[in-house]
Amino acid sequence: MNTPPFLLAAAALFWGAQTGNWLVAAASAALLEAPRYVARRWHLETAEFIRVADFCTVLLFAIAVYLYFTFGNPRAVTLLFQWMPVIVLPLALAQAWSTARALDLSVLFWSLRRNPMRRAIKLNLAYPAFALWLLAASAANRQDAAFYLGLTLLTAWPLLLARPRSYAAPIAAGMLLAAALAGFGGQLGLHRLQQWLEAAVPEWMAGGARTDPYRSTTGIGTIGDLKLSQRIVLRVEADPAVSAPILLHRASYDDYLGGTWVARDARFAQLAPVGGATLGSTSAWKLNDTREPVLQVTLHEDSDGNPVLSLPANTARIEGLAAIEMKMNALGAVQIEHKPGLFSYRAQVGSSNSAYGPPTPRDLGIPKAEAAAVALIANELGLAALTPAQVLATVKQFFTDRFEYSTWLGKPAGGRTPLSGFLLATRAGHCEYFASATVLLLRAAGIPARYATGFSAQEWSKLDHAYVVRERHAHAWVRAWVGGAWRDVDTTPPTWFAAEAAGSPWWSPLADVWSWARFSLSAWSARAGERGWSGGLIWVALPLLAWLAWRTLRGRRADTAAATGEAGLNRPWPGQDSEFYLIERRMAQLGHPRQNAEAVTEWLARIAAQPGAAALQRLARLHYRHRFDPAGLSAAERETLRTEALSWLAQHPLKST
Amino acid sequence: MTRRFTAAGFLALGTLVTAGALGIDTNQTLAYQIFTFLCALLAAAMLAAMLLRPKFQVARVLPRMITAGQAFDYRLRVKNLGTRRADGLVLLEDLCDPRPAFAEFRSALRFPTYRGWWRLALRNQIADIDETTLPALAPRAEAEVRVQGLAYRRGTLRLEGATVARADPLGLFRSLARVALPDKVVVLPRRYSLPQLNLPGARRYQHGGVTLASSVGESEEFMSLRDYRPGDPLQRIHWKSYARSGKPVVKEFQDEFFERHALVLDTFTGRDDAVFEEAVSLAASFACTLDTQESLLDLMFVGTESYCYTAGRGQMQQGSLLEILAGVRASADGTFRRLHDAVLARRAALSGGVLILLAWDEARQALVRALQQSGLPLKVLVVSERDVEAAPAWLRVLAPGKIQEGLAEL
Repeated sequence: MNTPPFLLAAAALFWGAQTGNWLVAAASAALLEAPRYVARRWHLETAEFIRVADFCTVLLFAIAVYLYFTFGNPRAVTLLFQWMPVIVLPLALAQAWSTARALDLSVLFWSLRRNPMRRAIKLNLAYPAFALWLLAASAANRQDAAFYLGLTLLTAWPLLLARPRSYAAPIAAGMLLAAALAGFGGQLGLHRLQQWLEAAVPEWMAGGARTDPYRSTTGIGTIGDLKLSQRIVLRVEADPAVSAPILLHRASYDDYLGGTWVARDARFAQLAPVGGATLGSTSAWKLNDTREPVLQVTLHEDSDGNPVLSLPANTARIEGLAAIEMKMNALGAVQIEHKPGLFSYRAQVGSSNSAYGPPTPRDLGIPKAEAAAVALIANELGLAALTPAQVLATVKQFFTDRFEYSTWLGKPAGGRTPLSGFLLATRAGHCEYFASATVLLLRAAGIPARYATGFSAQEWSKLDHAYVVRERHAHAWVRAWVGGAWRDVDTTPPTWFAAEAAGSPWWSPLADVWSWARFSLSAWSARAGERGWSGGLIWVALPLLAWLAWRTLRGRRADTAAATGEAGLNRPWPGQDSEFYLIERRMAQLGHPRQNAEAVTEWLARIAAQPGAAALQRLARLHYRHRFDPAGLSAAERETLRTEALSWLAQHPLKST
Repeated sequence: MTRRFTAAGFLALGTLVTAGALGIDTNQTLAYQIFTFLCALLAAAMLAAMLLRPKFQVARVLPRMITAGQAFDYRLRVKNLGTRRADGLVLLEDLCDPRPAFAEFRSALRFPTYRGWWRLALRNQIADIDETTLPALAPRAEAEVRVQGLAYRRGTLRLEGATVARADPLGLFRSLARVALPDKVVVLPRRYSLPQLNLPGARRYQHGGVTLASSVGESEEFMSLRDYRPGDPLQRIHWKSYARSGKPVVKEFQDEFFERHALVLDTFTGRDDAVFEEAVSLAASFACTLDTQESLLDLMFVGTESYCYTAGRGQMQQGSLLEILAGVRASADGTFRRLHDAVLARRAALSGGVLILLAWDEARQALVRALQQSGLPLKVLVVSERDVEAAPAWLRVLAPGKIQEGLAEL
């Protein structure tokens, strides 16, 4: 390895600190740096390296498949990167412990094995491995300043050591510092830019899979065609008594601000598992006081970390969920702390929903910008004179009869707000328009109402024997306080579901089969994990590794580092102590170095015109005898060489250039 | 770009691209921090490299000829014209651009693809010259280095200039100082070692006068020493000179034969492909193996017109024949008849011939028949990828890539 001592070990330990896998990191670090102190080496040919590289590729592929089916993207990609240096460690170790100083590029590229380059290119894996450890450490995603500090220090180390020496060290250090500061500012800016973009882009466009329980940016007011993904995000197995469509609630919001619904004072309260089960194991959680749950819905959901659960209305208990923590807000959003990947839970549906907080004055508020349009429609429908039940029926009828579903979002005319334009002019929109307008109309009629988001499950899949919920089934509706309880009211014309389905591409069935296969495998993997089979994988992988090591090293001659010439530089040779080497070094510093394979006499002849060179002829003769004469120098001659060399050095000091 | 970045710079660039892809979502990984840091680092390195432009003087001592398929080296002197010490220096030779011109690209490829274009560029590349690390240079100091390269194919290697690249203080990016230094080297065809050849044939009267007659002698007498050329028999190596000079040297003798042989190269093929290259190599092997000290050798081929070059005492040197062969191109138009006529026109002066053909069709068979009927002893070699059907026993068919094995059976 051509890295400075301990650089690779430091990178591996840095990875360990970021990922928490100290044991793996320490073992890797020790194995990578040990060849500096152990003389034993194996003589490996390109064919052996190719075998190791192929093994790493197969391992990489197997782990990639496993991670994809267990965690899904993008988590699988980050996990794969996180473990990449460990996966390719056999190759790095093969190089470190072999007599080869670099590998043929064909070891890494299949295409080069079939069509070799005209001149083989050799690659030392040390620095690429170093870069890989850093990239892998970044995939651990510990959002603190330690990563950036470690990254800067680890990068500065080899750069400063290998820098061209004609520049003063402070210049390189200054450049590094400037780059580190600029990079720090840049990364802060980049991260904030993404946060700003996420907040600004409507949730629908960002994909319905991720829910922010505090804020829902709607597509109201945006212009263009809504495009939503076919990706299946949920599978729902329901009691036969539960009729479709099943509205799966994720979060509710009570305040409307120009296209964005916000949940005010919706603080989360932690829930304790029933019976105080140990953290992380599957356990039950009680959401409200209903004695007897009446129905059961089982959900299989995919998430990339700390998801908001999709729950049917009036969910009383959640069972079979291995969450670290569960918390709920007054608007009915339930968020869990859970590692990314597939998880399943059973929602027991009860008859009441005492867990949702009672109405507040905010549930009756109407924003000023929309007040006029809402009042106009409320008057037209005569809502003030109707009972709450009649209001619900009238409003629903009003939207069904006079509005149509559209995913095309146009520009509102006449200086109206998009929502007012929807109510008074265009009368076409998607569910967010219907839900928002309904909330405001109900509030105008004195009925407390909230804007609810989640999914509508109504597509039955024969393949899965369950309802499948796609990203495009993300839906918005209304929670209205009627008769002392919150009721779900959906005023979007039922045709919306067919309209969304019509836009599905021809390859959608293929994608569904793929999704089903992924789901089945990850469900199997989860069951295997529950039964403790995961450890078995290691017992499969270990003999495989051992077999590879045996196949590669079998019959290989073990060489010592001396045989490879690596240690040759450290072996003493006669005349090594000659002061003439100091003169040679000084001359090199003065800009007259001796070339490779240039004899000392040739060199002296070449630089004869340089100051001080003429005096070196005699010293060179003494140096040669000291170096090569089997009889060596006499004590007096040796002393002459020393004193004259030192006096020459004193006469020719290093000038600052 | 490959010239601008150092190895460390390339690694940084590769890591930057990977980190950019991995860190696209800043919530998922911290790779975006690597991305911004490396962006800043490379930007600083580029800025520094731009500000610190070096000045150098370069002079090279090129050999006149090199051989395809063999490594070569030459000396090069670099002088630092700047006022500061410079290190982290690399010398890059600016070779003639091998990328095909549009017309060549269109005519060579029926379906234009990137891969095809790449292959054409590779085929046009005469040689490759290594990056050479230069020693640190004090102000006004000079250094001499040995530059190494590898010649891929015959032709003329044109050098347009030399570039001295100096790494920035971080060693990531280089500033380039280009020096215009046009030069050229002839790359001779690669040669095979031929077995001892006895070309049959009687001495004939040659229109050479005194110059040619000066070489005529009766005794096998030692004449001179010359450098070993591939194909020279080991028996002729003069071991004492070898030990003294460190280079193989062979003895040359003068004897009584005085013959004139024809070396006929068939150039009638549609394209410059491997078969044609092998035929040229074969011709070159004969050109440098057949003894021209006491006989004459006529190299005959047809290009834009019929050519005949004669090597021998008082005539061209064998090296010149190789130089001519370095520049031979396949003849896409014209008929084989032109070569047929050119060879028969010289029949009277010839005492033997070697024919190197690219096919065994009716036209070629007619030439061989005509020469045989006139009583000229012949060696006929056909370079072909496919087997020749119903080949006569005296016909040698050599497969490209297996020429040496084929020659061993001669």
